[in-house]
Amino acid sequence: MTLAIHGITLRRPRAALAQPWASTQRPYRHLDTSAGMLSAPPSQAARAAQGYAVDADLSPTPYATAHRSVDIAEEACAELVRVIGVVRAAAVRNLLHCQATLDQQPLVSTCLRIGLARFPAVAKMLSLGQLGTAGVPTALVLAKSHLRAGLGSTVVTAADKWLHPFDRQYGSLVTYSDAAGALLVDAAGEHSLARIDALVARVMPHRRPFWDRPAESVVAELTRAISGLLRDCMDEAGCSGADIDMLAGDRYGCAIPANVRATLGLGATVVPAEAATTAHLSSAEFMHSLLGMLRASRRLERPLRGAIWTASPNGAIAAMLVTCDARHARFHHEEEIESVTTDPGRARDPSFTEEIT
Amino acid sequence: MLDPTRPGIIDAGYYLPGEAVDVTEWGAKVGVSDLLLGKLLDNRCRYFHQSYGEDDCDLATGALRSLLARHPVDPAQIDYLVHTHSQPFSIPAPPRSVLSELMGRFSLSPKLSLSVGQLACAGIVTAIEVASRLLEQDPAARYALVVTADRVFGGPQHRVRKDGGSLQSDGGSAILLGRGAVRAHLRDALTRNFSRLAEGPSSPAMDMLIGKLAWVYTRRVLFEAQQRLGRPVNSLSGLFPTNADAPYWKRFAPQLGIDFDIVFLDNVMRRGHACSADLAVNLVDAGFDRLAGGATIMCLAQSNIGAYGALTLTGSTR
Repeated sequence: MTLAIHGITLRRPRAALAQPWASTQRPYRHLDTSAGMLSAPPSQAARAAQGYAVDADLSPTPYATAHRSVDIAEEACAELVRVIGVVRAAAVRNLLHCQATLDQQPLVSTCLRIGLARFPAVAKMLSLGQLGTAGVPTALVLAKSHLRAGLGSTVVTAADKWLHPFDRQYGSLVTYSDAAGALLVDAAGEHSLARIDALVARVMPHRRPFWDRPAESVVAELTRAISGLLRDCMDEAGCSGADIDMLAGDRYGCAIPANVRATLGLGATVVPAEAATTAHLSSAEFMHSLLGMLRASRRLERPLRGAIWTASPNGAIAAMLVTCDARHARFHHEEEIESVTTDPGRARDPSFTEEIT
Repeated sequence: MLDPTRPGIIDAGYYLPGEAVDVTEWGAKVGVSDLLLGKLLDNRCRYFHQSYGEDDCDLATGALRSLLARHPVDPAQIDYLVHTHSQPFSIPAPPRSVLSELMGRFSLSPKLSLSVGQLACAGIVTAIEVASRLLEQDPAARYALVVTADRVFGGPQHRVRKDGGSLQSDGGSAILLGRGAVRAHLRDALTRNFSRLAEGPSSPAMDMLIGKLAWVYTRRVLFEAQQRLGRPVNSLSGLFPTNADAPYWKRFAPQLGIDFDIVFLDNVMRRGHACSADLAVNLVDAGFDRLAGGATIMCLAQSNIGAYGALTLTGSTR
């Protein structure tokens, strides 16, 4: 059974709405206890000592204090329902939520709150964790498992908001932004936006935590792991670099995306992905890469065979080969939200346009 | 009729750190009131386990060592790794991961690994259901491993529930799934979620709502589980809930149509409520024995966020 993406939406804060969380506020008081110290992240000083210096400040815009990660996840779902239509939303049977961070009200269950609120027939819900910002591809593997078992279509959501003491910046390696996204996964069909040709998701443990090592060794290890997994993915699909029109991946610094491309020997025919001049969208970054590929397909007015990778410094890593066809897609883009659909019924909505940004 | 080639539970192990702590001595030291101590003892809550300096990866490691001592397997044959936890902070902080740390410590190289979160104490049934499905859809795969780890964060008020119905333990568990020589066939894994409680016990209003609805939802899930099973829970060799809520079981059993004697509550006193680990703790301590000769038991997982699960197991007759 071939899996495909049928609708996608992304939500991220804009400067005009920014009200940064005051550093004096501590939503995770439990981490101040003796038991909590063992779940606390490494200090900024410990990371700086290993060469995680900042030479390019991407200054991500955080969401306002009152805007919880569960709220932005729910807003992304609301937009997805607009994209796919209420009839299709009512047929969704599974919801998988991906999150690297904790909600500021840590007792909440995001998957339970957004699941039944937006998709009334959802029977199976869970949140995927411990995969850093690379959870979405694993959710796609589970979505395929749902389809094979006859359990129906799946909505995959992602949302993160970075709050003290969890730092959003690891020197020039990566800067994480608050963001959310949602997509609908179902069997490939007439209105598919992107057909998944191969998908590999792994956890590759490091011998030592990455913040405990010089930044250069982390860059080399990430480049090697990403390139290796992309080769595995191409082997699985029975294709080579010559078959790839576009390579897109997480917005890491330290030239990681360029190094991956060079290591794979991908030529000039490959459509360049967005440069890492803006912050990484955390768990929703994979959806951002997919949206970028859809925009390119629409702009070039042809289907694109793309390779997308995502990697978390905790060892979770994934690669996906996908055939994107957005020739007939319609896009919606406003202040905070971006979405795309090929459903003819939805495309009549005047807020969707053929223009892409 | 059960398909013997379908994945089932091969074995389980658990790790509850240190010696069991007696709540009467501990309570006097940390200032638990005599009234609350009396309630705890009335409710069968007596002993618990507390970790000192061990993090969640250490608790999961202890549990996996316990499992491998009971049932040695080649780590290279573990194709799926599924972790779950109840306590929101019972994970190493990002960018660490309990998955990558366990893989490093045990030289595991699963095809897929993931952590089921935000389903509190019911996450264990979902974790088993996901692991079983992945294994079932991959005929070349040999084993799937489900691991849990939970710790209590905060002071004594977080270890003792204020109604005296539960005494929290720290602990981890490991459950090995595979085909062939299984001790427990997975007869049914029912998961049900109710979004009204999704905010968890985060305010007095939510505490009240949980108190009002938790057992209503329990009744619904038990009723549906019985219907799917096609026989009453009272005909089974045991109902294994989490290791808490003894007074509520006594009070509500008649309304639930459950014979109180089949509810396994021995570990409420002996082990304390180690969240996601309770299912494995109870299987190892008593459940596997009750399954002898092909008997059937039901493990029930409740939570305070609206997630529920009922896992029905039938013992192997071989």
